[in-house]
Formats: sequence, structure tokens, C-alpha cells
Amino acid sequence: MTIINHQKQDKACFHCGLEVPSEKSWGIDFDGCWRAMCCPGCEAVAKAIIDNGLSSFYQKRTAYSEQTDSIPSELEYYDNVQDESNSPSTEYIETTLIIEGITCSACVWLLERHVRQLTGVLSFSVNYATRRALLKTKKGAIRLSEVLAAIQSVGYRAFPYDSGKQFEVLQGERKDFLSRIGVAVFCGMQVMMITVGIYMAGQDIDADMLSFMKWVSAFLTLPVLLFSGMPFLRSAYRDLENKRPGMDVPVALGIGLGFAASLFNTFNGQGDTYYESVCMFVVFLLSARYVEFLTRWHAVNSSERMSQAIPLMAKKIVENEGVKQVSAKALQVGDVVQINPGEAVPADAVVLEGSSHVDESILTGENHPLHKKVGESLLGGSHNLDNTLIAQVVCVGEDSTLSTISRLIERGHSEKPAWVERADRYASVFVLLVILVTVGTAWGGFWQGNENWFSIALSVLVVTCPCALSLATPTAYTAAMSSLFDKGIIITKGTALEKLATIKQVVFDKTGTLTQGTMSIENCEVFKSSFEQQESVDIAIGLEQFSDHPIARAFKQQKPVVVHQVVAVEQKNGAGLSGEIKGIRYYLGSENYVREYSTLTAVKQSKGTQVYLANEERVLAVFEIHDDIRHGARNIVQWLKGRGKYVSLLSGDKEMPVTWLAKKVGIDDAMFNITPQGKLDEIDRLQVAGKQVVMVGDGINDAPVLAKADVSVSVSGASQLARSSSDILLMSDDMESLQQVFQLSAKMNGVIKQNMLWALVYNIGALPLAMAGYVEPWQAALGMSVSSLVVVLNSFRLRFTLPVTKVRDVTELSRG
Amino acid sequence: MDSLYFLIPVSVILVGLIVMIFLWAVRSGQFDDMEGPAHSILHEEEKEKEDDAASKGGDDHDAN
Repeated sequence: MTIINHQKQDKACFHCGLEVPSEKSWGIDFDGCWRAMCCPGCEAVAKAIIDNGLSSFYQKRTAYSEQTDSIPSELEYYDNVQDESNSPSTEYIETTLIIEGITCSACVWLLERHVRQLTGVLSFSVNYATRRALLKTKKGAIRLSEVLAAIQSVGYRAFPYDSGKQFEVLQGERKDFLSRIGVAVFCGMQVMMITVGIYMAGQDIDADMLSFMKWVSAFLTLPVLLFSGMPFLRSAYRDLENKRPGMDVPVALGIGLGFAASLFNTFNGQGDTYYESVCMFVVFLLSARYVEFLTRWHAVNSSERMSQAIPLMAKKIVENEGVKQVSAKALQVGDVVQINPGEAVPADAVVLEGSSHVDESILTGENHPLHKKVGESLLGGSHNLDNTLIAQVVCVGEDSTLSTISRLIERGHSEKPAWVERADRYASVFVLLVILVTVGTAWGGFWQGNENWFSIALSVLVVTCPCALSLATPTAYTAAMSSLFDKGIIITKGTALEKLATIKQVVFDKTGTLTQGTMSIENCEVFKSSFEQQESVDIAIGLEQFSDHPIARAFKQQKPVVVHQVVAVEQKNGAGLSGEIKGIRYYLGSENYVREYSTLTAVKQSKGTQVYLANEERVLAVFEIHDDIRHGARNIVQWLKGRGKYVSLLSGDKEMPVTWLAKKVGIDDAMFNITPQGKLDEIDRLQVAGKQVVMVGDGINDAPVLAKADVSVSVSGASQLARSSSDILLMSDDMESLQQVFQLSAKMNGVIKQNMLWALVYNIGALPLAMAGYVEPWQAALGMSVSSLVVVLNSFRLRFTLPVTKVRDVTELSRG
Repeated sequence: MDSLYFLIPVSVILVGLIVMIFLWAVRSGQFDDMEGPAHSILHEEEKEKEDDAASKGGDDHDAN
């Protein structure tokens, strides 16, 4: 599969698919054709690939490669990492690498071919699913940095992987699951086959053969019970030790008693055996657990992706010594670092020099690169894209954004919402009931002389096991949280998500929430030719000093070149103001205001806010003001109102800016001049009136109000994360993502209700049937496991309810 | 029917073998990457040819 872009052949970079700058002429001659490249980095990589005889990569690949920077990073540092790692053997060294930039399976081929060519490399295999590679090198024959450089030369970034054992633990758990399921399936299949034989034969089978077959079944069931069923037995034992019976107790009892009774009957040569039921029960239940494990695995994978973001080394600028290579972990607050294009930011920092686009998607889910100027903050782990930045480290270690995010996620996942607690308690009571009912059934059946009493009791025990009930909520939470996390939203309290959908009252804070505090003059157009642009700005600045309209701030920020003395200022509420400068009266304000005093000759169409400057004769200039309303604020307010939510605005600011903003974003109920205490009282008033309140704030200035609200959302963005305290954190600056939280919250509640209903209906419905003896033990096993599986799969649906962020896709490109 | 006394133990031994092979496969990481190898087989067509050309001594191509 080759990618050839017919229409944009010259425009798209042959290597990475990005646009080729028209005035530049990077590229290579390949396959009898000139292939244009977007940058010298891609050119060098393509050349390296072709020179190494790996050019068929370009025929095999199914997606463009990632753009590569031309500056090779200093890799020697990693040699120390390798030396530190203790290898099991003295002859070779094993290193796990994380590889970034793998876009399709051909990349794996390219990497493996290329690295294995190196002398000293014993083996190198890349795992496409996890983007990790295992490198085995002969001791002393090759440095790790040489391998890394080789990987870099073909356009990928590789780092030794040392952080977090979580992934290994999960990988181990997965293998464990697979082994247990496999053993249960294979042995169970044999037992089933023998059982079918016994059933088919009916009465024709002679006693010796029957007993022989049962002994074989017992032998085959033993590994299923003791190896595959071990997790159930172990956790049931733990539950009993803690005197808090969980759902594993009836499971362990079911398989344990079933097996013991079968063995007893086999030994005596009479009575029923339940080997096949035990096997089936274990197989089904393990499968249900495995599916649940997979939802967890997905959740961990998405947060694990983040922990790889911080690079291992940083370029520290030391006075008089220039740039020094240091470990990123050794960075201190106040250190100055250099971040070249293509590199990751080693720690949270503030830009001192330079400006560049930075990709924060790994932290915030924000798809567009952000432009960072001097004084703006950089998040550790984000990617610098186009220019070199000099930045000062402001945060390290535990306080850094990245560790905060992972800590918050951990908290969110570990904290059990009320629902889950309740479900667990119910399950515990339920388990006791199940055991009582089972004993009762057995007792009753035995005294009535029902010869199937044991089989009926076993069915009752298995069929009523409250597994589905216990799984109903946690699985839904895990799926919803990890789905939101992919969108840059962190849930620190699961309960918040549960409550959100039902709350009708949404209160917004103003400063830092709906506004971002930076109004600016975007454009200034002068109508009179003799009038200087700077002069009109100066006059406007002079006039606006008297205004407290929010737009005035855009002017107040600016420093005038000539300071004008303004006298006789007249204000017209909210519309504009006029004043005299050197005997000439100037009018400044909205289009309508200016029209009253002056003839408006030209009206400029604009999406933003416009401010006109006029004298008594004519309009002199028009300013376009870029307002500082948070992106998506208008839409989210509209959306919430459309959903029947009651939206209001609480602000400590003065009347004019507050009402202006409220009108802009479409909030009807705005309260101004409110003290922090007043905000608390207002929330309290609403709560006393029986309303639950969602408070949306920036999480910093309004922490007490957020704490007071039933659900708090902070929109501070990732850079302020460590300081903000709330239940739901939006990491991207776009407020519209709040909509997704509301949507998913409603969906999640729906899913939980479905799960609960299903679990209860199943358990309550199956019980009488089992007690009446209509359910065979194996049918009970099937029913119970399927009911759990239904719950888990239903929860898993939540992962797919939000629109998927689109990744650059091959299907958009034509095949050649 | 007497043949069953022979055939059933044989099937049990076979199951034992299958289980052992399966456990080996899981532990040695055969199930770690369920995507990559499915594609990589498509990329190996000219492997032999290139290997002959390269013919490096001690070059270990063990995919594991």
C-alpha cells in the first residue's frame, strides 16, 4: 500500500504528509521521481532510510510518518541509564525502549530491520500494540546511544523506559488471566465431551466405564478448580477473614462444594456429579472478569501514555558554561532550560525568550498547537514544535502538572462513589441471603426426600450470585472516567459525575472563568488620511481612562505615545463617552453612539466588538477589540439553557462589565458586586431552597465557593491544575468540553440504572426457578456469567459515546 | 467399548500437552502484540532475498 497523494503531490511532504513550504526546495530523488519534503529533518530521514536499503518502507507503509526534527538530541546521557540497569546475564544487556512516532505496521518493519543491522545488537523486537521495544545487545559491543541515534536517523524517537511499573503489572495480570482462561477452556472442553458421552449412553453404560469416565472428569476438573479458580478461592478466603462476604464467597462455595460432592459421589459410585458445571462456571466467570479487566486496562493505558511525556534529559543553560545536558529529574525551580523544536518540555516552565507553537494535546486533549510567547507558561511533557525556547523552570517533582494529573486520576479511580459503596454493602447482605436461601433449599429438599436436593441447592447458590450487581456501577464509572480523560477532562470525584446530570442550577463565576482577563486591540483602521494611527489610539486611550466598561481595559493596558489631557468628559451608560482634547470634542463608543453625534461614512463588518472614534464632523477611526470571553462559553451557555438548565452568573465585579458579559454569553440572571461571602450565601440560599448547584469557576480565586457547591467544575486549564480544587477539571481552555461531561454523566446514569435493573431482575427472577428445581447447575453457571458479561459490556459502551478525536488518517489519502 | 479405556487417557494426555503449549505461549509473550505480527507477515516477502544479500554472520532474527 503506497500513499500517493495525486492532487497534492507537490504540496504534501513525501515523508510526513505535512504541507511543503512553497519557497523551499527540500526533497530527494526517489523511484525516478522528485519527492518534495517539508523540512530538512524529513529529508535527512528519508535519505537515511533509502541509503540503508530500506526504501521499500515507502511501499509498505499505510500512514505518513511523523515529522522529524533535524537536530539530533544528545543521546550519550542514556548510556548511564543503561549502565545502571542490572541485567540478568553478563553477556548481553536487555533494555526496554519506548518508541514514539510509530504510525503504521511498516514502521515496525523499518525499525526492526534497521536496528538489527547494527553490529552488537542481538535482537530487537517492537511491540506494535504497546509501542514498546525490547533491545538485546552484546555487552560492550554497542552503546545504547548508538542504537538510539540509529532509531532517530530513520525518524523515530526512542527512550529507555524506566518509569512506572504499573504497565508491567497489568501486562502480567493479563498473561495470568489468559493462562487461567486457557487451562479452564481446554480442560473444561474435555470434561464436557465425556459428560456428553455419559448423557448419550443413558442407561446403557456399564458401571465400570461410568466410574472410569467420572474419575477422568475429576482429574481434568482439578486444574480448573485449583489453577483457574484460584483467584475466586483466594478472594473468598480473604473476604471471610475480613468477615465481609463479597461476591466471591458464593462462587468459591459453588465450585468448591460442587467439586467436593462430585468427588464424594464418584468415590461411592452413586449420585450425580457436577464436574462440567464447575468447569463452565469457572470459564464464564473468568471471561466476564477478563472483559472487566480490559476496561481497566484501557483506562490505565490512556494515563500511562502521559507518564512517557516527560523526557529523561534536559538542556540546562548554565552561566558562563553554555548549554549543559542534565537529567530532567535533577532540574530545580529557577533553572533555565533550552527547548529545541521537536523536543518535549522537561518541566513546567515560563518562557523567557522566543516564541513557538507548543502541542499540549497529551496533557489537555487540545488538538491545536498553542502559540506561546515570553511570559507564558509551558507544561512539562508538552511538545515544542517550531522554534527554540528558553524557559525558566517553575515547578518540579510532586508539584508538576504531570504528577498532579496522575495523582488526581488515581484519586478519582480509588475513591468509591456512594453508589458503589452501597452496591457493595447490598452485595454483602445479598451474599448472606443467598447462602441462607441455599441452605434452606437444601434442608427443605433433603427432608422432603427429594433426591436432587444437592443439585438444586447448588443451582440456587450459583444462579443468585450477585456478581452483576457488584459490577453494575464500578464498570460504568471506569469506562466514563477514562472516556472523559481522553478528552482532557479529569474527574476527581466519581460522585460528581453521578450527580451532574440531575442538577438543574448552573452558576458561573466571571473572572477567570467566563473571561480570561486579556482584552486587546486587534486592529485599528483610520478613515482620515491625515490622521495618524498612533494619534487615534492615543486619543482613545486618553478617553477610556474615564470608563469602567470592560472594553476600556483593552485601551487601558496600552501605553500612549503622547498623553492627552481630557476635560469635560460625558458618559453615556455603556454605549460610549465623549471628552475634549485641545478644544476638540471626541466621541468614542459603539456604532450607534457615534452615529448620534457624527456622520458615519463607512461601516466595517466585523465579527468582534468594534469601537468607533469620531469628532463632531466625521468618524476618524475604528478599533476592533478582541474580547476575552473564554472559547466555547457562549455555546455552552446556550446548550445548557437548551437542556432546561437554569444558568446564572455570580461576580464580584461592577455592574457594567458583568451585565455586558452576561448579555454577550446569553445569561439572563447576573449578579454583580458580590463579596466572596455573598457568593457563599447565594449558593447556600439556593441549596436551602432545595436546589443542587453546579458551580463553574477557575478553581483558584473561588475555591471556597466551589467547595460549597454540590458539584464543582474548574476551567483553569492544565497550567493551574495543582492549585485548583474541584470535582471536575477541564484541562483544555475550551469550555465547550463541559458539554461532554454533562452528556456522559446522563449516559452513565442511564447505564448504571440499566445495569442495576438487569442485575436485580435476573437475580430475583432466577431464584424461584432454581428453587423449584428447573435450573441445572450448568445452566445456572451460564446464566450467572452471562448476566455479569451483559453488565460489563453495557458499561463498556460508554467509551464510545463521545465523538472520537480524529487522528491523521490514511483513509483520507488515496491509494496508489 | 474397551478402546475407550485407551482413547480417553490419550485425550487427557493430549489436553495436558495442549495446556502446556498454551501456557508456554502465553508466558513467552505470543499474545502480547495481537496487531503487529498480523501486518508484519506482509512485509517479509523479500526477506530471504535481502538476507542473502546482506548475509551477516550471527544476525539473530528471532522475533521474540
